[in-house]
Amino acid sequence: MEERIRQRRALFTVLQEWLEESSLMEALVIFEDHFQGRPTIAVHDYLTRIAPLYQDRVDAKTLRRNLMQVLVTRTQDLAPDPLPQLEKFRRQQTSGPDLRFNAQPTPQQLALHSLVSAMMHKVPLTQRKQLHVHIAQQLKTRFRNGSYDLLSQYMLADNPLYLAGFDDRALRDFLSLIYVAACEVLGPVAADRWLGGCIADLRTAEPANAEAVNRYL
Amino acid sequence: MSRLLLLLVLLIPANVFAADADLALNTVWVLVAAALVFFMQTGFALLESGMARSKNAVNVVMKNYMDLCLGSLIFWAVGFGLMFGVNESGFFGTTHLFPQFDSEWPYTFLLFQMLFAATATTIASGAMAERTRYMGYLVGAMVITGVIYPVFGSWAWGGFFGGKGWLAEMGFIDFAGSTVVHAVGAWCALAGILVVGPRLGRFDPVTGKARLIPGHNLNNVALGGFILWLGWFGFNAGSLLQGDASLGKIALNTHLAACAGAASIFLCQALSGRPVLLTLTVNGSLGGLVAITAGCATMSPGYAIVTGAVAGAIVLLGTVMLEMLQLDDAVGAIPVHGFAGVWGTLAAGLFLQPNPFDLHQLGVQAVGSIAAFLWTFPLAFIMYWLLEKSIGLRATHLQQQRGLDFSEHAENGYPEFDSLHLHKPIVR
Repeated sequence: MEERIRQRRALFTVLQEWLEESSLMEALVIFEDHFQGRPTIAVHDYLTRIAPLYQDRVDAKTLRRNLMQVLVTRTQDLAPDPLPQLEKFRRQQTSGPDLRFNAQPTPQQLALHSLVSAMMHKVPLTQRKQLHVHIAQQLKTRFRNGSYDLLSQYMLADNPLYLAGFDDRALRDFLSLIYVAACEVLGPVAADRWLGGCIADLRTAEPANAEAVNRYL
Repeated sequence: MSRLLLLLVLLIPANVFAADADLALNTVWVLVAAALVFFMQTGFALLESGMARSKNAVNVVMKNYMDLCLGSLIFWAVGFGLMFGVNESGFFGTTHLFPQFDSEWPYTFLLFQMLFAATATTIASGAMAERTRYMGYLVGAMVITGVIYPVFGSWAWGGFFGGKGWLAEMGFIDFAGSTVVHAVGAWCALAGILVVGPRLGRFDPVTGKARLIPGHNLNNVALGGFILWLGWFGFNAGSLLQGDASLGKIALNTHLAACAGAASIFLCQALSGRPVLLTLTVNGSLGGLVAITAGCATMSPGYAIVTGAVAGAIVLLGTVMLEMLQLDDAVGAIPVHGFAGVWGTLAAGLFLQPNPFDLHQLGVQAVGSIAAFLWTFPLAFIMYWLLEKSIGLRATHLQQQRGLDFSEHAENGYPEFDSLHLHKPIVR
C-alpha cells in the first residue's frame, strides 16, 4: 500500500511539470488501472501508452529519466498524494458523458467504434503502442481546436462517447488517419489486409454495423 | 489486249516503278512498325498495372489509355510542328502546326512519330503509379507530349522540313531514341515522383528502408515485358523509315541486347545472393532494349550484347540506389528508361562502327544526355509542382486507402475476386 502511494506521488511530482490538470489526472488513472504494482521496468510501457498526452511538450527520454530519479528520492521530497484530485476526476469521468459531451454516439458512430476497437485488438501489443504514437502524431496535424484531444483520448479510453461530437467527414478522416498510421507501422500491404480484413469480418458477422460503417469508407 | 498492256508497261521507265515500289514498301513497313509501337502501349499497361496493387490496376491502365489518346491529339496539333517543322534556330520547329501535307509520305511519318511521343509520355505513369491523381497526371502528360518531348526531339531529330537541331549539328547519335524518347520520359518521371512523394508506408519511418509493395499480377508483368519486347522491333527497325537489308541487323541487335540485359540482371541477382525476381528480370531485359535503342543501327551484334549486359546491371544498381534515396518508383521506370537510356546513348558513341571508342563522339553523346536532363527535369518539376499546387497531383490519404480504381473511376478491376474491402460498395 505504501509503495502504491509512493509511486502515485512520484508520478504526480514529475508529470505535473508537463501536463495540465485533466491530462495529468488521466495519466494517473491509466497508471492506477493498468500499471499499478508492476515492476519499475514497466515505466517505459506506461510512458509509451500516455505519449499522446505529453509528446508535444517533452520527449519520452527526458520524462523517463526524471521519473526514474524521482522514484528513488526520499518520500518527503515528493509532492503530496494526489488521491483527492484523482477521486474527484474519477467521479467526473463517471458522469463524464453529460459533462464533457452534449451528444450520445449515433448507431453509425457505435458501429465505427466496434470496427476501430476490433482493428486495434487485432494488432500485437507492441505494434499497437506504435500505432497509438503514430495516430497521435497524425491527429495533431489534422485535428485542431480540442478535437485532437478528444480523439486521442478516444484511442486511449476505447470509449465511443468520445466520438459523439464528430460529424461523418471528421470520422472518415479519423479512420483514414488510422489507416495511414498502419501503413507507417505495419507496412502498406499489411495495412490493406488489416483494414480490409476487419471490414470483411464486420460485413460477415454484423451486416447492420457494416452497412453503418460504409459512410466512413 | 494483254500484249498491248505489256507493251505499254515496258514503255514506262523502270525507275518510276522502282520509286513507287520503294515508297509503297517503306509506307507499309513504317505502318507495320507504327502498329508495333502502338502495341507497346498494351505492354506498358500490362506491365505497370501488374506491378501495382489490385486496388489501383484500373487507374494505371486508364492513364496509359488516355495519355495515348490525348497525347496523340496534342502531338498532331502542336508537338509535330515543334519537333519536325522548319528548324532555323536549331532549338524548335516553327512550321507545320495542325499539319497538312502536299504528299502522302509525311502522314506516315507523322503517325509513327506520334506513337513515339506517346511512348515517352507513358513512362511517367508507371513511376508515379498508385498515388497520383488522374486529372493532374493527364494534364502533365499533355504538356510533356506537346512541349517537353518535341522541343528536345527537335534538337536531336528536328528539321524534317528544313533546318537542323543543334545536337544533330554536333553529330549526336540517337537512332531510335534512348535519350530522345526514353531518358526524356524518365526524367519527367523523376520530377513527378519527387513532387508526388512516395506511396503511404513505402519507406519504414524508423529505419528508412524500402518496404516491398508487391504487384498484384506478375503474369501480366511478364506478358507486358514480352509485348514491349515485340513492339521494340517496330520501334527500332521502324526508325530506319525504309524497308532495306539493314533491318535484320537492327532487329537482331535489339533482340540480343534484351537477352543480355535479362541474363546480366539474372546473374547479378544470383551472384549477390539476392532472390531472382521476375520484376527485376523483366526490367533487365527492358533496360537492354532501352540501351540498344540509340545504337542499334550503328554497332555490331557483339557490342549490342555488351550494351545490353551493362544496362541490365545498371538497372539493378539504379533500383537499389533509388530505394536508398527513398525515391519511390513504383515500376522501376527511372533505372530502365533513364539510367539505361543514358548508358545506351553513351554506348552508341563508344561502339560506333566503323570507329569505335572515339572520345570526341563519346563527348557529343554525353552533351546530348546532359542536355536532355537539363531541359527535361527542371521543366517537368516546375510543371508537376504547379499541378500539385493548382488542381492537385497527389491523391489524398483517403483516396489512397480506398484505391484509385474506386476513388478516381468508381470501378473495381476484379469485382468478383476482391478480398480487400477498403471502400464502400459500388452502387450504380
